[in-house]
Amino acid sequence: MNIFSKVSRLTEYITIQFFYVMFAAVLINIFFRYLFNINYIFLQELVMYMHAFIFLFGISLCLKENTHVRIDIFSSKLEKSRRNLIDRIGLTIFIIPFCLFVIYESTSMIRRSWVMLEGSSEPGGLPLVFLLKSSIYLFSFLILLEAVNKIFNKR
Amino acid sequence: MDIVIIFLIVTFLFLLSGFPVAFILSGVSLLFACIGIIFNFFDYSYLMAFPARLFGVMGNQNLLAVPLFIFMGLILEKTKIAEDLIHDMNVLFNNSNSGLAVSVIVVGALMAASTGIVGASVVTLGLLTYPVLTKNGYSPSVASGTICASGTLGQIIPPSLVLILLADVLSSSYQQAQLNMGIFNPESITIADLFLGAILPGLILPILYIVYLKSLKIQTKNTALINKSSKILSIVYPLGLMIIVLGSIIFGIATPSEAAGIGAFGAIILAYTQKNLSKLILDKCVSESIKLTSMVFMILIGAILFSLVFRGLDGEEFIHRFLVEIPDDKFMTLFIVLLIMFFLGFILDFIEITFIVIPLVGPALFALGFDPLWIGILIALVLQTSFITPPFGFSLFYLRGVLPNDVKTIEIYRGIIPFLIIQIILVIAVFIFPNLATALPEMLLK
Repeated sequence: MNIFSKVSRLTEYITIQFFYVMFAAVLINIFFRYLFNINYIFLQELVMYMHAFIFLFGISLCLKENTHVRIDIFSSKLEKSRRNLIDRIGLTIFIIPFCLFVIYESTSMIRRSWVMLEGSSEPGGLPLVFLLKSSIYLFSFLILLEAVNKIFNKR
Repeated sequence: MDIVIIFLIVTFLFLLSGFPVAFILSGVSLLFACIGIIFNFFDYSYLMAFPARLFGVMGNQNLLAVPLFIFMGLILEKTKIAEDLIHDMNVLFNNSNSGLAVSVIVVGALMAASTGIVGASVVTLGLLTYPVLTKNGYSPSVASGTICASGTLGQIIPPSLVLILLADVLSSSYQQAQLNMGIFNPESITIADLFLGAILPGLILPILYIVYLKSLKIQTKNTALINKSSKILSIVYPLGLMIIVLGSIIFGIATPSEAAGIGAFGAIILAYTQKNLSKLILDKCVSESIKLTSMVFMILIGAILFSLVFRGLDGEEFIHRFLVEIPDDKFMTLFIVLLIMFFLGFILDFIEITFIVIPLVGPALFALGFDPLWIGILIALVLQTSFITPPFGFSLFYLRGVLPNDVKTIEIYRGIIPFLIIQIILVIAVFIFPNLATALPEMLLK
């Protein structure tokens, strides 16, 4: 197993765990709110964090398994080698620049957040906004990794 | 010619290449931004809003409901609760001549409610029900028509995923429109509003479908009588679950994400008591929910970049000229927008159109004073019509793929025509009588 599939295995495992945490947090939150009328801000924020991590990291998994929506009216009629070529070109000119742009453009936002160790804007919230923002880095990095894997992998 | 027109055309052409839509949107936008910066027709500062917009999506409370909603639907589907529903309803309605088709319609509504991807629901429904329908005396054309129509029906029947996404996008462009007009405490439109608005059209449509199928007087083969009371329960549970989810959102008892959580929890309990729900199946549902959720959000992220670049290329001014100045009255404007969406529906799914097109045309439409709720329902109905229109409709296209080869494509087309006519009648009715969409929310919420 190469490094690329190790990373995506790990990503898949972690996002599944995050999903269960999110689901549990939603249910616990409902339980406390409707039965005891207690509202835990940190629980609500935990749901939000987990949700953001899930979809940000899951995007690289979709790329790996080719589950992003395509318009294949024309391309489904092409030979497999042609479609592979289109994919490689797309990965190179569309996905890689996108990842680099996201990394470049979000740097100042993430750096500012780290400098002040940004916390929640709500009292009682999670003091981890800087981690939440940093997940944007990991999001683009994971896609970048998968794109490189797909470009150079023999199919 | 405006650069922005070239931008739209180039994006469109690249979309046809078959590369994932989300990445075409982000990639082509960046490409144009780059060329624009070099040739001095694009200001980089437009792109600087991207990180904040992305962070906004990460904290969006409406969209929080998406993964759990999908999860709920997948559990119903993967543990075969949905499949059993078809069989059980068939037994129940055995004596009536269109019982089977009715159950297909109900299950279609139930399933598409939570995934919202036309292709996926039509394919599942087709594989599941086509053999049963034809075995019971339905002609291939009526059977395929029923499946195609039912596969798209779930989108308009709340609680549906696409209505949640639509509500979120509509409310932000509605607020944008009001801010542009100088209203600084803008009204908004909620998921509950849209769900309520969709109830009436969402009831009328399947009823009309059923009336049509009844009129065909199909002779189904009678099977032996089975204990009916046990069957009733297996229908009541999943439908009850949907009603709880829907009700708690509409009456403001729970936030959409909480309602989705309750729904998913209920689905797990159902699956656990009625079926053998293993950890393996549960993990599979989770993993697939994650992928579907990510796919939805990547389209949204791509659409954000697209709309930023569109704005940077003076797209708003272009839209205003095209939609407001050229047509001589506002209903013409609306008609043009709906027509464009109808044609886009041939190549793009509901989710893409919601994320890409509505933020561009929405503010212009709402500035003309249209009710966003009415517009939302109209858009949903028009897209549904588009999905079942031969020869390009998504629904027909996907069903073709899963049907046996001896079914002629022309039979599928012939089968869908009556449903298409019903659909068009309803679109016109909602267009002429906005009350069909707006009366219920006004009565209950205002």
